[in-house]
Amino acid sequence: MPAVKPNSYERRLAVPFVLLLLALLALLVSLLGLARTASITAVRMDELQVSWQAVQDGSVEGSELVATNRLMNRAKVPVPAVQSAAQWSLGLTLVSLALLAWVVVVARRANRSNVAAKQGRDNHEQAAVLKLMDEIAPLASGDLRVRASVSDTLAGSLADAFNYAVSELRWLVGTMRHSALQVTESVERSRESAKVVARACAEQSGEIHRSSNFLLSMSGTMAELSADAADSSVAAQAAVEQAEHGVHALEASLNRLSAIRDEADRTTRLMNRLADNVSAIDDRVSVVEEVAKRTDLLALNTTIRASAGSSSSSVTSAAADLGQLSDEVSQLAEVLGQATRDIGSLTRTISQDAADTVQSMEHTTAQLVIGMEQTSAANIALTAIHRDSLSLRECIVTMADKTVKQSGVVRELTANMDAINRITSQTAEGVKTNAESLNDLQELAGELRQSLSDFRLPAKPSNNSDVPSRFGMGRDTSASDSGAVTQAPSKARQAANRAVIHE
Amino acid sequence: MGPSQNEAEPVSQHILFDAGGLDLAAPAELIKAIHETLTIQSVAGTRKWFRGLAVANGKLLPVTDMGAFCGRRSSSGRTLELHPQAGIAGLQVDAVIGLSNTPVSDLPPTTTSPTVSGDTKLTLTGRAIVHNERVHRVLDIAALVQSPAFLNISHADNQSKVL
Repeated sequence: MPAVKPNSYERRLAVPFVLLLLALLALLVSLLGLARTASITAVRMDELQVSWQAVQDGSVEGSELVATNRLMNRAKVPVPAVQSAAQWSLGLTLVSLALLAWVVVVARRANRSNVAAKQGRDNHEQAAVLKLMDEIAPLASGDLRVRASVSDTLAGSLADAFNYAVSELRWLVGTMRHSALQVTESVERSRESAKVVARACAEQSGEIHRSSNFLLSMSGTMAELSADAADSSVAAQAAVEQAEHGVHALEASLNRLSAIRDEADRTTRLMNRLADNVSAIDDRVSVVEEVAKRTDLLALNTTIRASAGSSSSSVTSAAADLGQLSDEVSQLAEVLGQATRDIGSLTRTISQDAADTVQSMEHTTAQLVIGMEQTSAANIALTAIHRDSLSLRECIVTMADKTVKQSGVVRELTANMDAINRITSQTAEGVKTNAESLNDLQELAGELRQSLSDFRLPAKPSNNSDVPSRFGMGRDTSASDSGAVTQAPSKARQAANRAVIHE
Repeated sequence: MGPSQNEAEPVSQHILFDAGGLDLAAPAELIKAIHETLTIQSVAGTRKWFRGLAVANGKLLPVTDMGAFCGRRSSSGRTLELHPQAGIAGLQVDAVIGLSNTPVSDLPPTTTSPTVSGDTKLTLTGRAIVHNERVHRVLDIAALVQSPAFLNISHADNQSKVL
């Protein structure tokens, strides 16, 4: 801003005003010296008063009188200075009054000349403002090429500020155009990425549709498998129940067979005893037969001897034969009696064993009947188990066939899932590219916000407050304080640097 | 004057036995005893039908296989000890059927003669006892024990050597 040159009014008023200031300054110094001298005088007078009071009390020595005399001499010293200062003060006061009158006269003359000069300047400023308005009129149609003429008048200052604002607008518009181009490029890239992503998504949708069909088929097959598994479960449950029945029947049959085995063992023991007894009876019968033979032979021999004795044998020989015969008969009778007793005992034992054997055989027969019934029940259960097992095998075979078919579907599904995975990777790449483009857009938006933050918007209107109008955006004219004025050049410099960098 | 056929013969008891398939009978008064088992000690250089020597009631007893002596199969049953009056000998037979009181009669004409050795034929009488429809030829014990064939127990080879 150009410095204001002093006019004639100020030049004429300066000399008497300076002289008046010097006179007032000298008067002030004179008054200060007068006041200081008066103060010193008062202090000396107080000291003298004290010394004089001591002299009047009569307790003063010689040395003290000398000191009092010195004080009195010192009290005399400031008095001439006071007089001189008073004189100087009076003179300076008179000079100041004269100078003041001079200043008043000069001021009255200068005021009259200033009023005339001001009227001329107002006329000149009005003409400059009209010229400025004519120069900035194209700006209303959006022409930023306008440039106002700068002069030393107030309108010239306004034209300078207007030119600066227009330059800022030009830079701002250029920056916004450049940013718009970059945004357009980023949007184009995002569109390309979106097209790629859309194609990938379409392909992925197709693959997912195929996979969905496979899954649907798999679901149907799995439902059939589930139904077959349910049937298998039912058949297995029936087989388990039949197996439990068979197990119970077999356990009962086994217990019966064990009892039958015990009975058979007992019967075997009885039969062995019977066989032993029969063998013993055979032995006894052999003994009896032997006895019978011997008896028969004895009878024959006795008959022979009797027939022979009747003819020729002596009485002595006959008596001896009879004695021998009696001994043999006695031995035979003893042997026969023992054999008879043994046979009787054996017969009773055999009878008891036979009764026990019959009872055991009857019990065994009853056990066998029950065991056969239980074995029949077990056979029925095993037959049912066999039938259920056959049904279960058919179900399992059906499930195996379906599982084999399902494995092919699963392979197809795996291939589709691989394709989907590949497409998902491509989609992820596209999304990543979009994200980078969006980051660029975000940075550009940040730069735009930073660029627009240098301007203050007027009060928000009621409608469409978020969109600034083309001409509503600009530097706030109310921000004419010193801070805004001092920050404007640096921001303009930064904006110019950014414009250079963008270009 | 000998006894006529029509005269009633005294009832005598006979012992019926079987030897080598021959049904024979011997007078009971000529049999001292019947032994079930005897320990027979064979004698070397004797004929096959001579079983050997045995001890019966503390007395030495030569035992002859009656079935083999008759030219039939060998006998292995009881031994008939002859009365000492008839001779000291024992006859081993297959089985002693029993003591018969049936009267002795003439041999029926329809009866076929058994196949026996020539010496044995001399000891068989023409009389017989029918018991249980079986015809038992009565054996002449005295002729038997006195026959040279019965007494000669030496083996033929040994006999030829002696001669």
